Amino acid sequence: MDYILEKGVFTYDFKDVVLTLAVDNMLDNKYKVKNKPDFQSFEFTSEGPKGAITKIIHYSKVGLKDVYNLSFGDMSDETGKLDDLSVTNNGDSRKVLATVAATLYVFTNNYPEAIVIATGSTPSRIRLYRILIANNLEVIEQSFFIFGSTGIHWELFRKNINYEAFLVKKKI
Amino acid sequence: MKTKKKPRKLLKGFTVDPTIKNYDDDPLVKKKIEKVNHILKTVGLPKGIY
Repeated sequence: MDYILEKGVFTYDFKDVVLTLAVDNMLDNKYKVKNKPDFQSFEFTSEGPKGAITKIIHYSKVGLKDVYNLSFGDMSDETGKLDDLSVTNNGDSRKVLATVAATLYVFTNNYPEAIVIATGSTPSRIRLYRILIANNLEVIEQSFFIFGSTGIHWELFRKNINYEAFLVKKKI
Repeated sequence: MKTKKKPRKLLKGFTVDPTIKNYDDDPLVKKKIEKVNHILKTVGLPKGIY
């Protein structure tokens, strides 16, 4: 929501309110998230039968203007570094991915020109991302252009196509 | 003096925490950036994305 304090009066954009409510609904079952003030690093705790596991999402700039990479993984208790190959099996993969998607909304609300690219660490992880996108495509497309890479070119995301990477850009 | 403030935007369930570390130097992040830069070199970006 875009609150603006001008001459002591708060105003807000009703279109943003409706969209925010739709997003909140889609991402209702998500974890509470802490983020750095620059809105590029996010942290939350997955809870389940395997215990509490700290998850990190980090958006970092890459070689082209306004292009960011999305990194997502568990924080290793031993090394303090990210690990995207661990299989948590905490029974909450949908809730975890909904939380990751929520960070994308927050990040692009604060970096509206950003082009975000996400790649999976394994074929099964890429498939999971593809299913999550496909299951929420209508709501996602209200806010974002979403593309998939075949390895040769980018195309607008279509269901049931195997992609190597995903790219999203907020609709302004 | 006119005051105009545009706060940063958060969703419900998010809180700002300045103690969260920066992961720019994490090996996984560096590996992912290399991968994305490779995609940008070989596939580029969708036409008209800017």
